[in-house]
This record gives sequence, structure tokens and C-alpha cells, in this order.
Amino acid sequence: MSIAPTRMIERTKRRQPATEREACVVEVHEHSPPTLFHSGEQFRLERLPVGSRIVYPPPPMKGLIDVDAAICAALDSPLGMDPLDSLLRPGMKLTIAFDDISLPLPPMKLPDIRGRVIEHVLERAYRAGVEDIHLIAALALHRRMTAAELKRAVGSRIFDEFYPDRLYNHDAEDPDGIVDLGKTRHDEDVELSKRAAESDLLIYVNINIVSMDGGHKSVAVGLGTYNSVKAHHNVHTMRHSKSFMDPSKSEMHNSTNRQGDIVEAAVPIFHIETTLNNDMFDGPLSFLAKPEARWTAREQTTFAALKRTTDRMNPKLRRAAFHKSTAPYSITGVQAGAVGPVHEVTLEHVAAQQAVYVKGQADIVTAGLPYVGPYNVDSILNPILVMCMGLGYFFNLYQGVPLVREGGVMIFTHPVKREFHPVHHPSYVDFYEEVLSETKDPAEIERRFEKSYAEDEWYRHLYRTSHAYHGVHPFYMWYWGAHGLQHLGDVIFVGGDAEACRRLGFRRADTMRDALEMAEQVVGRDPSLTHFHCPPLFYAQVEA
Amino acid sequence: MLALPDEDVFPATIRERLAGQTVLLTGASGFLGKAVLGQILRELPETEVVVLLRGDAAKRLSDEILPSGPCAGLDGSRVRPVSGDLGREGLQGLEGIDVVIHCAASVSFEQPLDEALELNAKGPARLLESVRAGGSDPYFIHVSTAYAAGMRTGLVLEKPSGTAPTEPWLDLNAELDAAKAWRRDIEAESRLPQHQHRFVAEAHRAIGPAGGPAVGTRAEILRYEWVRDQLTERGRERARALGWSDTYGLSKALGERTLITANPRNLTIVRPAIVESALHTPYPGWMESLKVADPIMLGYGAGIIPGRFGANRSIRIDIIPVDFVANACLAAAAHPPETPRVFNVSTGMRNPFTIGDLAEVTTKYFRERPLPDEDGLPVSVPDWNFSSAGSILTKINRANAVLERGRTLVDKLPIPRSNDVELRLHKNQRKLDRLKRLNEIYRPYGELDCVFDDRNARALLESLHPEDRERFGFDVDEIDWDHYMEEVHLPALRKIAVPPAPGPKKTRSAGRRPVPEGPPALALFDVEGVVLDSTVAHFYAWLRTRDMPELDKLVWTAGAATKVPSWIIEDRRSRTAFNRNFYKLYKDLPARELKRQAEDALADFIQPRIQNEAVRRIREHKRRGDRVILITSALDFLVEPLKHLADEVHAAKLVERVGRFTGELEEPPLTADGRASLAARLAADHGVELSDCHAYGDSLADLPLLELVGHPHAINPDFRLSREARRRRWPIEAWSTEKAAI
Repeated sequence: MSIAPTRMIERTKRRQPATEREACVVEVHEHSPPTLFHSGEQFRLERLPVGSRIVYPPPPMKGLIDVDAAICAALDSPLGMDPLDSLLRPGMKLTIAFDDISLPLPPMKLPDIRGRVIEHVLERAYRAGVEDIHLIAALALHRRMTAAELKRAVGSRIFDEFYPDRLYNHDAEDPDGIVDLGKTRHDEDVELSKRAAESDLLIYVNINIVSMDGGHKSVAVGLGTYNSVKAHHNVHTMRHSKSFMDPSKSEMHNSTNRQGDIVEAAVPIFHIETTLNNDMFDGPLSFLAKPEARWTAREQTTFAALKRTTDRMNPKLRRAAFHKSTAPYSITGVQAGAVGPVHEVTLEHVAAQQAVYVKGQADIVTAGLPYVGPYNVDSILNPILVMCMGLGYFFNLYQGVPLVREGGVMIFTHPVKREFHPVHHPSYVDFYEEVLSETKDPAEIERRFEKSYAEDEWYRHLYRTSHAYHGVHPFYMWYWGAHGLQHLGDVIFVGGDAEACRRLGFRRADTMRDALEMAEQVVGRDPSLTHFHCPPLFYAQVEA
Repeated sequence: MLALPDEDVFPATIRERLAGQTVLLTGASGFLGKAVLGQILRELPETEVVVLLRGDAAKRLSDEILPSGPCAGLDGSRVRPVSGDLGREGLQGLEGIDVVIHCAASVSFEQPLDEALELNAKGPARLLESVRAGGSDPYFIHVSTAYAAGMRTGLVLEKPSGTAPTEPWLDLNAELDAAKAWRRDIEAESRLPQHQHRFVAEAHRAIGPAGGPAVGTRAEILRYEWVRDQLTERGRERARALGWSDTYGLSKALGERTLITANPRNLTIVRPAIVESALHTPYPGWMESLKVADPIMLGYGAGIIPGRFGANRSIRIDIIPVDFVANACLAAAAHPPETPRVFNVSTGMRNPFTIGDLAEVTTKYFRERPLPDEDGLPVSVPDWNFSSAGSILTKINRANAVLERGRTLVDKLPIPRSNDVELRLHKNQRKLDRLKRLNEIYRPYGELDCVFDDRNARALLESLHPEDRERFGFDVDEIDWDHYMEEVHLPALRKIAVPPAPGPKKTRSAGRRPVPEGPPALALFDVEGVVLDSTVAHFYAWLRTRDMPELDKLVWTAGAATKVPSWIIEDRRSRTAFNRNFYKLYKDLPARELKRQAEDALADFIQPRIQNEAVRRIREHKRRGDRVILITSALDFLVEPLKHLADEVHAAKLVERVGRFTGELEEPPLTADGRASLAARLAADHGVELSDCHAYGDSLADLPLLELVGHPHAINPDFRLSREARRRRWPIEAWSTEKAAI
């Protein structure tokens, strides 16, 4: 029998948090201050036309006071499963998998919640006499984490004990480390890390920051291979996931759930999910999360200084400075147990923090793209990642219907420089030069190019031995935006590099005014405009 | 109103006079020859033509001559081509000739004396002999040059060479023997050590790293050029010693003399001055390539002669349109003289045009319609000043010396951006060379203060039928110089010198370069500079410093930096020697330790330095079935990861003894010709043709390899390789790393 975890007690109260957030949707009037736009490693202030709506993120929720107690409670009274202690026995094969560096964004201040949860799990495992324990970073086709990054994620105590023999990165291309678990009823391949599949118990430690993550996606994707991932990471699935931030209406999640069922049949999974609030800006910069009209004189001065500094800084130093910053997240929930029930609760926690109800779609949606996405931690947001960030993430941060109407225009602010990280994104460079110069159509790209990149010997070698994303990864980034590309009438980047925007198939403008002018050619005169004021991260629950 | 005179009062027309006759035309592929042939085809339908051409005469006639300006659209069926070379004895197939128009000549001002004499001096008599051997005794019209009269002042009469007072006595055979002896002497001299050393040193400087055979070839080319320069120089000296401005004038004068000695039935010597573009036929401004005076006008328009031309303003520059000369030849052909006759076809007498006028009209023209310079921007034309030739030569020589010293300095000092500096020095040198050459050649003409008498030509013109005066006119009075220069000649010149303006073009090239065609073969990539933006020294520095604390790293780097200049100098001399010496640095280093450290090379060193275009190109080659081979002078254990990129990696190996490197290489370094022979062997092993293979290189050390294969590519070439690549029209590409972003 299980005891409900702390947060579940309040469940009934939080059924529809989104609708109570009228104050998050603000209309621009004559006296409104200019609006903040992130633009890579810089900031812009733009005056939006009177009558525009700005959707702000909800304020950060209060975090758990005693995280350790919450972890213990979750482990001791899991949802739909026996307590962890009863699942552990001497001589068993235990594998602990955890989310990789792509979460959370920006990285959280130490201690990392993954390390804290794993400490508790290990403590119980040792107590139960378990000796054969492996820790795997479930990075799917992402880049391998460096030793320092692993150490940061799990904490130095665990790192010193397990690295490198028993704490390592998942290798989706290791011919000896992968096992085929068969096919789903939709004929989707299911391949998994051999160690995980052959364990007596697989514990997955997750950080949930967007509603897309977690659930069966964690194990089936995180420890999967190219063959299993391509079942849902394809253009057809992406176009039918509306959106993938809304698991109930996402074809991708249906697919991962089917794969998850196969995995669960092969190995028992004890799933631990944690949720964070949206406290992304630390200390003196915390005002960046507030509406501009609420900035104090001091905060306005700080912003002016910040903008001047970032605009004039050496780009390399600026990038280093930005990527050094961490977020003072608080933990808002820890749930453990069977994948399904745990994820249901997790989604409620995410909704409680992130959902904002918005009525009606707009002709134009504007948004400022920040410097970091899931795939460029300590790296560079290259043009393809910019596309994925805008059309993959920002466009899809909705439930119900998209914030922008069909045939509408999205205007982003980002410099879109043609810059690539030579170690992390080698296949991106070639994708940009070789594929995008031929076509921008996701379906054609998938048909003509995907296989050769996915099976390229050099990319495979780099993925396995260096710190490079898998050869096929840029394709997924492009598919991520497939639904957006289909839905939108035009995409405009304010301040974007002309050459790079053209290569991506987008338009660019120097000023927001020009961009609006250009957008009007697509959607007609006097369009409705909504600004999606992200980050901090949130999503819009839009009713047509 | 004047009544038209009776028909029989007038002499017969040229057409009637030449009807049914057979004309032998030499030099039909030349400027004047084409104009003459065009006039015959157009105006003399009853006259047969035989053209004497070198090589495959029929093919050249139909491909080169008949489609050209003067003959285009005319019926060429009356022309009979005969193959033969005037420079050699024993011409055949010249039967039934009534009239010979001898236009063939070598018109270069820079020709060794023996070559000029062989063609220009011996040619005419030889031609006459051959025609006589064919059974006919023709009327001979010899096209000479006004400058065959030599360097004179005042009036130059229309008298054949050797008949005017105070002309030197000349012996053609003695001159020819002497000239041939010079050739033998200079050939021998050029092989003497002191000269050989110079050629080899120069060749080394130019393409040293390309290896022994390449340097040898280059030295031999330099030797050949030197021999030619020396011969030209000696020829010119000889001609000037005898009173001619160059071998051209001298050989032409000798030609006239031998021809007169051969005693043709009738002889007319036509002496045109400086032949330039046509005034009327085939169309105003017809010209196919640059003629004698054109380099000066163009050089001036292109801003190369900024007020530094050695000439006298009041000297008459005697220009004559080509159609006038052609007409004069045909008029002469229709009017055989009793005794040998000379026509000066020139303008200086009746319608003078001075160098000052030329300067004025050219300045005006090029100021109003400037030429584009190297960057396509208009040249601002300076004032055309004149000064004495001597002072100019002094200036040029001084500038030359400065440049030479600069180049030596750049060569010896490994300064940063030396490629740019070298390129600029090279460009200036080229400009200066051109200027020097122009001054050298044209100096005598700029000081030739004479007037060519044209009374004979005038008399001939006046004796023509009025109709012929229209059709075959060469009345120089009708030339309006301003009109001729501004409307006819300079536009024609510009048309030749400036490529036609391109039409609207798409602003960016769509898509990628097309995939190479042809059967699959080998694709050979140099690693340093092509696949990776690094050198063997970078590898070494990375390997040695990667575990050092920051401060040590700084000290070590500073220490290594002091050696860099000597490495660069050594590498410029020979890549092989550099590699051997460089790898001595590995002496006594622990082998296993270094190999372990090299495991991190991929992410730390190789990936940031990789040029992604190389990866794409390698993949492209693999897709079309090529075998991709990487050739590197780096150590095998450092480039180990690259095995996953290519099918084969050929790297250097160090000798190990008791766990330590000895600093010696197991095999000779793979550079220059070593790479070429490796490629040849691999091609043979895999049974593919070298002409289907691709090779990618970045420096002169790859030159032999690039020369060997059918599809060479120069990637980020240094100044010296890019010069070679441009010369051979190889594709040059610029690849880059993504390193700048981190």
C-alpha cells in the first residue's frame, strides 16, 4: 500500500491553475514601457503596437522546504508500486539511469537534484546489500557528457566512487551494448541499453522542466538507439503532434508509450520524476522575469548597464559569461513509482507552475529567443538550433491550439549567426552546408539525406568517442519545427544574419517595426499581436 | 555640270587586270594577309587564290581564316590551300602562279636574330625559288616595313634597302652564321656552374618544397628563358650596331636585298608603317589582336605608363589602317612595274600624326571612357609626360633593385602575413617588368625623327580607275585622325582588351558545386592544411603542453616560439628536411605515455581544427565510390581517429626503442615527389587511372601529387602554390574551420 506524496494532497485545489492567471496576459497601451526581448546573448527593448497582448510567465511557485524528506517520502510510498526498499535485494543487478545535460536550462545551482535523489537510492541499495550497481547518463543521441559534467550532475561523492567503470554515458551505437526488445504493435523497433534491459531493476531519475519530457519517453528514448528513436522522431509523427508539449494530443508520446510498455515488460522500472519551479534568473537579474512595468528604477538602471555591457562585450567572453550562469531553481515535487501514475502527477505539477490560459489565437506572435537550448549547454546555439528553438520549442509551447493562427506569422529576435561548435555539432555544419542549401522541406530532407548522416562512420565515431551529437541529430532538430513550418505563413528574425536566415528559409528584418510591416504583407493590415514573454519557461493553454 | 569622260579614256580596272590570274598569298592567317584575302574574295571574283599556310592548310583555312572578319560571309571556294613552311627549304605544290603577295613575316620585336633572319630575310627569296621551281616566273609583291630603312632622320625615300647612300654593307649568311653561333655559345654558357646555380637558387625559391624533379624542371625553364632573353638582347644590339632599331627591321631589310638579288620578273616592295585597325573594310575598327603601337596606348589607358614614356612629342608616329595597306598591295598587283619599285604606305608625309597628338587623343579618350583596373574600377588616367629614355631606364632600374631587395628580404624573414606582402611585391614587379619592356622595345621608335616619302604610292593611286579609287582606295588624306582614333581604333582596342560586360547575374550561386563526374578512382587528401588547419608543429605543441599547468605552458610556448622562424625557413627550403629535423624533438620521449595522451586528441585537437568542407568532400567521394586516402606527415598515433573518416591513412611512424622514441622516422617523410609516387603506386594497386583521381593539397609540397592526378584542387593555397595553381587553371578553394566560434 502507498501513502500519497506531499504534493498530491493539494491536487484537488490545482486542477485548473491556468484559468486563474488573467494577470499574466497584459494588453499594451499608450503608456506601456517597451517590452523585453531576449536575443541570444543580448537583449532588446521593443515597443509593440498598442493593443498587442503580452503573455507573461506565472511567478515562481514556492519550492519544497525539505527536499530530502520529500525524496524519502516518494521512495517509501511510490505511486502504483511497492516501496523501493522492498524491490532491492542482495545480489541483484541494479541500473540507475538519469537525465543528461540537456536538463534543466540553464543548469541548476548545486546540489543537482539528480545527485540528491541518487544518493538516497544508493543509500537504500547499499542497505539492502545490492552490489552490482551501474549509473548511466541517458543521453540517447545527445553528446556524451564530460567527466566534469557527470560529476556536477551526480555529485562528487558518487562520481569518485563510480567513475569511470560504473558511471558512464549511454552509447547508442555500441554493437555489444544494445539489445533488441522486439517491436510494438505499430511495428516500431524497441532497442535498449543492454545493461539496463538485463537489470533486475531499472531506476530512472528525471528532471521535468517541460511537459514533453518524462514518462515513458525517459527510458525508451534516453536509453534507446537510432532505430528505436526514429520510430517517432520523424516528420510524420512531428506533424501529428499538436503539440508535443501536450502529451494527450501528441503522436510522439503515443509512440514512446507503446515502446515504454515493451520496455516495462522486459525490465521493471522504478521511475522518479522531479519538477522545478521557473526561478531562472538569479540575484540582481531576477527582475528579468517580471513585467517591465514593474521594474524599479534600480532595476531599470541595472538593465541599461546590462544591455550596454552585453552589446559591447567580446562575443566569446560574453558567451562564456552567459554559459557560466546557473539558475536557483526550487524543487516543487518529487514523485516515484510506476511510470504512468508518476507522470500524471508530474504533469499536474508542471501545469501548476507553467500553464497560462490565453483566449483566442493571434495573427502575429513575437518572442525573443534566449542564448541556451537543450542542445547547446556550454556550446553554441547554431542556426539549426535557433530554428528548433523557435519553431520546435517556442511555437509548440501550447496546449489546445497554437498561439498563432494558421497562416499567421512568428517574429523572433535572435542574431542567427553562422556559428557552430566544432566539437559538439560537427554534423550540424554539414547539414547546414549540404542539406539546407538543397532543400528546406522536412519530408524531402528525411527522404534524401537522413540515412546517410545517421549511418556515417565518422559521425558515429565522433558520437562514441568524442563529445559530438549523433550524425542524425540536426535532422531531428529540423523535424522538431516541421509542424510549425506547416502551420505558419512566415517566420521573421529581427536582427538575424542575412545569409544564415536565407539558408534557413526565413526572412529577416533590422527592426521590429520593419518585421511587423513585413508580417502585415502576409496576414493583412492591423493584425492582432501576442508577445510570448519567455523565458522563464511556461506554456500557453490556448482556446480558439 | 561635268560630262563623264569616255570609258576607254580610263585605264582598266584592277578586277579586269587581275581576272584569270592566280595569286599566291602568304601570311594569310596574319593581320594584313586576312585583309588582302578578304579584298580579293570581295572585289576580284575572277581571280584565283593560293594560300600558303603552315600545318594543315585546308583545316586552318576553313576554321581560322574564312570565318574571320574580312572573309566572313564570302565564298571561299576559289581559295586553294597549300601546306608549307617558309622557314624551311623545299616548298612544294606552287604551280601556275602569276602573282605572289608575300605578307608572311615574323613581326615580333623581340626575336632572336637567327629566327628572324631565317624567316624574314631568307623567306622571300626562298619563296620565289619555290614558285619558280613550280614552273612559273611570277610578279612578286613583297610586303616589307617602312622601318626596314633603319634609323634615319629626315626624308626616307622609296628606295629598296641597300641602294641609299651610307647604308652598311650586309652579308646575310655571315649574320646568320654568327647568330647561330651565338645560340650555341649561349646555350653552352647557360649550362656553366655560375648560371646553373642562379637558376637552381631561383627555382628553389619559387617551388623548393615541391621536391627535386619539380625544381629541376623549373630551373630548366628559367635557363631556357634566359637563353632567349640573351639572344634577343644580342640580336637587338647587333641590329642597333648596324643602324636598325631591332632585328625585325634588320631582317626585313636583308629580305629586300636578297629578293632583289634573286631578280624576280617584276618586283614591288610595299613598305607599310605601323599597321593598325581598318578604317573602312571589312568594317571600321576591324582588328583581331594587339598591334605594334597598341601596348603603349593600352598601357597608358591602364595607368601603367604614368608620365614615364621616353619619346619626343613632335615625332610623327606613322600609323596606317590595314585596309589601306591591303588595297595598296592589290593595286600594286594589278600594275607590275618594269624595274623594282618601292611604295611607302604611310601617313607621315601627307597627313602627319605626332606622338603628342596621340598622347592628347588617347588621354582624352581614356579619360572619357576609362578602362577597368584589376578590381573592375575605372583607372584614373595620368597626364602623358615625355622624358628622355635614359632617365626613365635609370628610374626603372632603381625601382627594380628596391623590389628585388624586398623580395629577398621577405624570402629570408618569416614575417607574419608574408603571403600578402609577397603577392603585392609580385604584382609591382610584374607592372615594372611590363613598363621596362615597353620602354626597351619602343625607345628607338620614340626617337625616330623621320618622314616616309610616299610619292610612288601616290602616283599609283592617281593612276587608278575612278571606280578602283573607291574600292581600293588608300588615300591617306582622307584620314581624320581624331575620328580614326576616337571612333575607330581606340574603341576596337578597348573591345579586345576589355571583356564584354556581363549580363545580369544571380547574386548568389544556387546550391553546392556539382559532384565530380567520371569513373570512381582515388581521392587523395593532404591532412595538414586541407583536412585539418594545423601543422606537425601544432600537434607537437598540443601533445607536450596539454598536461602542463598554465604557467608552464606559457613558458614552454615562449621557448618554442623562438624556434618557429628557423622552422619556417627550413620548411620553405624543403619539407622533407624540415620533417626529419622536427621529429628529432621527439627523441627520448616516452612512447606509451604520449600514445595514451593522444587518445584525447579527437575532441581536444582534431575536431576544433577540422575543416568541415573536407569532411563533406570526403563523404561525397565515398558516395560515388572513390577510395579516400589521407596522406599526412603527422604521427600515426595522433591521427588515429581519422581512420574512421577515410579508407586509408598514410602517416609518419617514429622508431621506438625500449619504450622511448629515438627521434628517427621509420620511413622517409611523405612529402613532395614521395606523395606523387605513393599515389601512382596506389592507383596501380587499385587498378584505376590517375587521370580519374582527385587530389587536394595546400602547399608546394603537394605540387607533384597535384600535377600527377587528373583533378587537382588547391585548398587555401599559400602565395606560391596559388600562383602555380592559377597558372595551371586548377580550382582554388578556401575552406575554414569552425574554431572561430569558441
